[in-house]
Amino acid sequence: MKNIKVFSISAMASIVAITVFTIIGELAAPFKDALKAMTGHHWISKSILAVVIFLVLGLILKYTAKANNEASGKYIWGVFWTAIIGSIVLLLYFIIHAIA
Amino acid sequence: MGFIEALQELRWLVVLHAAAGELGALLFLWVIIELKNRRETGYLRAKWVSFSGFILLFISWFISATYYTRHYGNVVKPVIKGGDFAWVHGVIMETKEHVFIFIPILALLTFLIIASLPDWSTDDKIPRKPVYALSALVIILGFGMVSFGYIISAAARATLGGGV
Repeated sequence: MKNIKVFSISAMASIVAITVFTIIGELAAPFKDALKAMTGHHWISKSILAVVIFLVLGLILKYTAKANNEASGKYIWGVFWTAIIGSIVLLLYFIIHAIA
Repeated sequence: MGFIEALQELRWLVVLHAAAGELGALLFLWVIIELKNRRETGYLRAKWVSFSGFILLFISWFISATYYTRHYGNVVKPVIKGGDFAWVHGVIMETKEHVFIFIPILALLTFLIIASLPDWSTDDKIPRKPVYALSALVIILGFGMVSFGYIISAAARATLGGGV
């Protein structure tokens, strides 16, 4: 059950990071250029960062975080809502960006 | 034309990307059904079907990377941005390419959660609803990406004068 907590937290971190990196990249060209410089394409860099954050943070937490079996459902719901909110934020951002 | 060259063709990349993604997302419907039945054999199937779903979504992700970086930016994007449906790139494609990154992560997490619950069929304290919700989210986002892909293809065809 500990895996549920640690990998849910790392999934939330990964989704939030991609959402934030995407919006910052659109607002600040140097940041997007830095992402592009990492792999040759900003999207490839974001994709790799998403996997790295998910796996590395998950493995770090696996050996450092305390188990909380009672709240495992809350962590899964946390990922569910983080993904929905992240998707809506990205959609709204690109709608506003297209209109402005 | 060799197999690799054929795969690198635009249309085959799109077909394989969509097919792997749709099948991968659809496998999570199978996962929900197996988990709902609360049988030991069903739990084992759900575990490996969710893993297969993740692998298919990962393959779809990998193929989309090839398509997006080699073809979309050079071939499709200029067509869409040069026509009446430029907003389709600015809103639909930009959202699609970033929300898509969430899906393999959610699929892998769903597999890890299911694999962490070996007493699924017997333990009444297991948080079942959020596991169903997460599986459903993979399906919804997966088919949301399919619909976005359809809009992008339709915009490109309409701009080129080929109708929708």
